[in-house]
Amino acid sequence: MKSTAFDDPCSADAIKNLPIPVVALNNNYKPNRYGDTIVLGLEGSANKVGVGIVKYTPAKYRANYHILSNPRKTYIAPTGQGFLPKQTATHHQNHIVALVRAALLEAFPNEDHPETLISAICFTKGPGMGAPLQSCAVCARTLSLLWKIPLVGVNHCVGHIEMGRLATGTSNPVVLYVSGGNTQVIAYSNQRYRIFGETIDIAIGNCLDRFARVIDLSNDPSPGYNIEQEAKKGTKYIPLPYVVKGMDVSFSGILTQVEQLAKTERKEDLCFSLQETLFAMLVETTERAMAHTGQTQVLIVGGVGCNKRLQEMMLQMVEERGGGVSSMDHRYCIDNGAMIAQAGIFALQFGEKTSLEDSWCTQRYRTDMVQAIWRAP
Amino acid sequence: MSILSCYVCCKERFAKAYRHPELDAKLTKSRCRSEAKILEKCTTKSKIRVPKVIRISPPDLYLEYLTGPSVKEYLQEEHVMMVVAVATTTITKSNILDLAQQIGQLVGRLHNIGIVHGDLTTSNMMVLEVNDDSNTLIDFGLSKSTFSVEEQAVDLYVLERALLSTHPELPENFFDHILEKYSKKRKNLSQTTLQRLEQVRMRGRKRECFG
Repeated sequence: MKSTAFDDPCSADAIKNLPIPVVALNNNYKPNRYGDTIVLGLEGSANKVGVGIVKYTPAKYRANYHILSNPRKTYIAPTGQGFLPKQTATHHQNHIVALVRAALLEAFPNEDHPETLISAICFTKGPGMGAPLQSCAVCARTLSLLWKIPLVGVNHCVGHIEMGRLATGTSNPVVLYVSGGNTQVIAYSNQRYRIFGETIDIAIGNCLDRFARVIDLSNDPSPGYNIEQEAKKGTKYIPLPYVVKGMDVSFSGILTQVEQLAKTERKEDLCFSLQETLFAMLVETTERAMAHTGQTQVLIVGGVGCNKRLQEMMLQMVEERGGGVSSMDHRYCIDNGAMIAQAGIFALQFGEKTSLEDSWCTQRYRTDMVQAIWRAP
Repeated sequence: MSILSCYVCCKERFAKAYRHPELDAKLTKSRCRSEAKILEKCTTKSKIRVPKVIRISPPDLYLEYLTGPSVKEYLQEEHVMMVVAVATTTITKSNILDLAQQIGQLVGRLHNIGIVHGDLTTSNMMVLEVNDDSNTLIDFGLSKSTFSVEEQAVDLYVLERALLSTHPELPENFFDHILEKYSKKRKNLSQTTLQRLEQVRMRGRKRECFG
């Protein structure tokens, strides 16, 4: 069997969270018979469905979080088409049980009853596409009732951020969250992840995906990856609109322009110019957020964070300011179950859980609506 | 040019290595020129106290040097004071709301002469030590000459969010005080801008789909 979790445990001290309350005091959950707290996370807000298992070991000086398994399946839409809610939900429903089994088997190969080691089920409450979210939530509720353990609803964006902080050991970075559905520059203050700037129309990944469809690029492995490959062959810079409105950015006008140009210009040059323009806008807003908050570390999360050119530009900017950048890691860039488990275990350990009645999902769930009770105010 | 009666500072625009050189050159040049033009406009068309433009040589801009803390620094100091002297909070609280009114007035004046600032954060506002008009705006690099209601609304929206994200400790009605004074300054024009502000706020709220 191919391993889906190959990273070392991450130190819990490096990220400077508040001290974890004593378990007996909040009576929220039970650590397992070995004294560890293990949770299972379910993610399925977009075209990926994943199950991750995360373990917390409370050793006195080496307390750590460890991903035990993290299998995932991706729904790839036919060329020229995006992923639609109905088909995506069906895909998730078809795979989720097998993924839960695979995750348990990999995490606990020699256990007859691995479910007895798990303290809670975490699931994505939102934001995302309704139907795929619900498919995973149904699975989460079932497991919670079956195994008689609590549920924890998790904000997808906070999942990316928490896994990012932990995996890189950066306690308080400025976060650039770039994916198919989100484009946000986020800075933490007073127990909330505050949105500094965001897109006022379409997300960056959406812009790239839709342009990929216009020029007939495949969705396999992802449209963004294929644009990146085309862009490497581009030589000519074609001026496009550069739309920064305050801290916010806007992409829809650029998309219209580049779609028009697709009739006359080479697609390699267009991919190149599109990337240069879009990423420059993002790096500039991130830089301004850094200047305003006085922070020096940047964390890029979300699927578009896999783009090498974006990473390179961000690094150039951050190095000039004497800071560091953490970009591209499979644990927090691409959607997966472990990141939901990670944000969920923080909430659980600090006294939060979701009752069955409240275990609904929502397509709209802003990052700044979550109170990060595990962080110092 | 006559003899300078002020300290001068140079606003250097460094080439951004991460940007494509053509894009960088275009942005740098246009922002430098437009900043100078808008600063001049502020001085000639209104009473807004901004740094005087001494010399324009793109990509550098020589400006009058002003002393004083940024509003961000000022508010953070005030916050500390508020915590220390709980008994006298009423006094400092009213100081803070005075500041809100001054900010509202400043932005109102700016919009009245057809300028949107483009980057209204508390790092870009200064509380001057000299007691003339007591505070000022800097960094007009992203400013535009326009009477567009949309742009004015976005300007206010940026300010609102900058306050929320950097100064969560401020009294809740801080922004309301800004808007109140802003409306007074803008007279009958404020209505359309504030209505648009409502729409701009909704846009951000709606724009939260899947990831």
